[in-house]
Amino acid sequence: MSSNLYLLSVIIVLPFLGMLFVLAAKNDEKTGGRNVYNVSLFTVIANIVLILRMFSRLDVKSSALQLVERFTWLENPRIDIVLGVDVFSALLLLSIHLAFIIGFIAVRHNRIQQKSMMVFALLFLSQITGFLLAADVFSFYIFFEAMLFPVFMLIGIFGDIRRQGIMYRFFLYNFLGAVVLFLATIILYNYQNGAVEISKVTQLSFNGRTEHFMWASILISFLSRIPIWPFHFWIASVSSSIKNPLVFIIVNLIPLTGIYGLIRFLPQTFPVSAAFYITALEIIGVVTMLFIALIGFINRDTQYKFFSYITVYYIMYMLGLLSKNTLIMLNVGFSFFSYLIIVAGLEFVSSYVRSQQEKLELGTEGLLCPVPRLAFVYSFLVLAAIGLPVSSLFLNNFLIISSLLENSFNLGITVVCALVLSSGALLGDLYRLKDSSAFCPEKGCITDISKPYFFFMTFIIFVLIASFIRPLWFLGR
Amino acid sequence: MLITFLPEIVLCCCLPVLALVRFFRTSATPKTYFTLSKYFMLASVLLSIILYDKSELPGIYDNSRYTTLFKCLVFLFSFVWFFLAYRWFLHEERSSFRYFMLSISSLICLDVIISAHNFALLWSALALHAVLVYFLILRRLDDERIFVIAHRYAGFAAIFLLLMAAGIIIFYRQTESLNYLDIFAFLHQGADIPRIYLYAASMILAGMLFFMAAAPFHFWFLDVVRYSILPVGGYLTLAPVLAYFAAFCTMTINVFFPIYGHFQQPLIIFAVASLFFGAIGANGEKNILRLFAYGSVFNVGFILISLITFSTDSLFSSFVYLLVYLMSMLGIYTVFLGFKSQGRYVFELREFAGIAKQKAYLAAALLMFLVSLIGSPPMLGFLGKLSVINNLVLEHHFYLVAVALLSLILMANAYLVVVKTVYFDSPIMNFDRIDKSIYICLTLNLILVVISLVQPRFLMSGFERMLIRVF
Repeated sequence: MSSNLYLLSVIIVLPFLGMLFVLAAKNDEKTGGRNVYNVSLFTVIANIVLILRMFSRLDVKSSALQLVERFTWLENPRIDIVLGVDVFSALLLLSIHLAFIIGFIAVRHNRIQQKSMMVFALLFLSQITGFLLAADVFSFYIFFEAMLFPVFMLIGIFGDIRRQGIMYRFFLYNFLGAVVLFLATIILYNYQNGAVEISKVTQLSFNGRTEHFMWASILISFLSRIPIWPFHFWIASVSSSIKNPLVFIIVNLIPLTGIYGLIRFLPQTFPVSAAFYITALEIIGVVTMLFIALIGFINRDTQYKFFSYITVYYIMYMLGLLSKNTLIMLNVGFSFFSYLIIVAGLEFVSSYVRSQQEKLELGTEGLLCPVPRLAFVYSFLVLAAIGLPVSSLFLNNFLIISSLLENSFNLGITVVCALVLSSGALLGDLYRLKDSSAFCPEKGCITDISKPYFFFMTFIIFVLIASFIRPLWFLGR
Repeated sequence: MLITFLPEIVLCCCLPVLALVRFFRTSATPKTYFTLSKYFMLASVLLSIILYDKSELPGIYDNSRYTTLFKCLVFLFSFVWFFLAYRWFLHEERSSFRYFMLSISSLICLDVIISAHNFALLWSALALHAVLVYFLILRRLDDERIFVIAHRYAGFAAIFLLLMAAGIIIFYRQTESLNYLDIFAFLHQGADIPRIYLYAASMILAGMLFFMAAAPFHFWFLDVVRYSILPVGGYLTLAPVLAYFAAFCTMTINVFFPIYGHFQQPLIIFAVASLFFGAIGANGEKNILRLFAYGSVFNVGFILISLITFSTDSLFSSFVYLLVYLMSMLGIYTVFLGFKSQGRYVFELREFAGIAKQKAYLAAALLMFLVSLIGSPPMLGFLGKLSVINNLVLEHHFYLVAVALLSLILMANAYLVVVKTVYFDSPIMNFDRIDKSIYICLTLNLILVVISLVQPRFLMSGFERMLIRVF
């Protein structure tokens, strides 16, 4: 443990410390909110440096959890907090931090409740980092539930109309899921006479009713976070009501925790009795996917189109996981890396366009025509999002879809249809924004993104392209 | 014999001293009474610790690590609350003489309730404590309804005390002793126990449940907390529950355990009723004091549900839950003392709207305590929830786990309404400047919470060793 200098603990604690600094930071008219913002940004950048350091110590060829740290927390019942990391969780960690930086850049000029936003965002970052680094079921559960609180506060503060209803929906679905997982964790703990390492959960076998109960609880708790029917109501309401890009990115990281939970907890081989439920889940999944993709295609609200795109992809990943193919699992990890960055990038540029549009009271048609830098970034991100060969999303999606087609042709075709619809929705939106025939310079035009922003987004584009050429390019391997 | 009662005798000495100050000093402020009470309490608690195993009245009055633990906690919570209460009296410019006299007397009763191993002693202490609570309730002067509430409390307390007395007399006629040990020996003899003794035991236990404010005997508690002055409501929420819990466990384990099988199912019913009455009641409540009074009923249910087997583990888990809940409630009542608008303390939920925008630190502290009460990690409340649910799973009470978690979700909804009001609603009033002592108490409480959270094992391992002394 001492050999890795508690690197994982530091990576979890650093955003929390950052949060404390933000709380203490002076945020008056004189500083113009710069203190809070700079401290937050610095915290995330510092954590990225630590994550890269962590990567350099990882054996990327090993699938086992590495750099394990163990702390005794409670003696009765004996509970240890165990942390560990593998390439999959490290990749997710890095992409989440990059998504956070994009989110921070997007809210740079946002002065409304900035301190609260940064405090809860950093708290959430600390919790989700702990969640991805948890190496035993108890630590996993603690972070799984703990991250709900900052998200609840962010939705409450930055959610728009009908927010009371949205909050209750969020609470009902997610807290219920967390409670069910809590119960499953306790049963698992007592069944195994002690805490279970997360890497061993998939190999556990139970008998009779315990098996049914355990897997049902685990499935319900993780599905409650994925926008699949009947759990999709909360995230649909939240996503369409939140206009703050950072909060939108954070809210849309919640389904990731469900997918990650499924990856860690789903048994290596499903029990025979579960076959019916898995089939039912697949059917519900594709129907939800298709339905939401269709609504996204028809709807004119860009925010809803993004939500539709995000949902379709999350469900596709879930269906990929249910195929229990090791190669697909790995591809989901690599795909997530690009996917999270693309979603954050798209939210950044679209929120920029939206704010300009609202300020100048313009329509959407031809908005991108006079702004080449923004048009370039927007177009690239949309093309990357729909899976063209400009990011690691291309190859990994290709593999996931071929696996789905191989397992069940009907299922695969439906998934492809949903993907086409959601891609069509994004392309349609892009077309509208770049439609030069509708552009009318007399009405006024929006300001292009500044050069520093453009350079930053170019760096993000470089990261995406590099991930397409070599997934672990930043390690030089 | 005197040495056994030395801590209580010291506290008794506090009463004439307070009275002397009241009559001979012209400007006796709340600070004077608090300072005097503080020193006597400190002496009493030190003596309790020094004489932790001195019992010269075995079978009647027992001093052990178990009783010392509860006495220390009662003193600790009371001490903090008295400090805040004296600030309240100072701001309200009211005399605190009667409050401190009654509260110190109440502490003496609670000490006796914790250590009693004799039914006559227990009953007398309970009866005297009920009288003191009656007078404490009447400390409110500006609301006529308080008389109705105090009289109602006195009436019901008298009924339950009479029930207890009847139960005790039934046992006395058989055993000719009121000591726990003798009655335990009678119940433990193995032969079928006549039904009358089961009724007698239920009368005694029902009385204890009434004082603990378990549903359906909780009605008095809601109104008392709502209508009495804040120092009284806070004191009644924090201190007596510890003593009643200790006495309830001592009595059930050391007297009624041979016939406990008959009471397990009814106890589950009371526990479940408390959970749901508390959770549902809190959801419909618009007054913050009543809302948290319902919360207390819910927590009593959670404690009872964990206690049902009265094993070492169940006792420990319920104790952990109780401690965590009381720490959170102390924090919440401290926050209430800071919510004052135009010289008036506010207790209607709508008046709390948007407080976070004006009193960020207070709102943040309230938020942390609420999340703790919900039992969500990483707050301390999670430790209590974990302890109780783990114990229930260990004992294979899966249906109780489901009931407890379902009620917890309902209760969490009520607390989230408070969070929503405090953080997301628009403010409707301006709040007064907050006393620095409130900040100090809150900060100390939060530091204690953080320490307990980071290293709970230091706290827990010591307590476990003390708790097993009850067996």
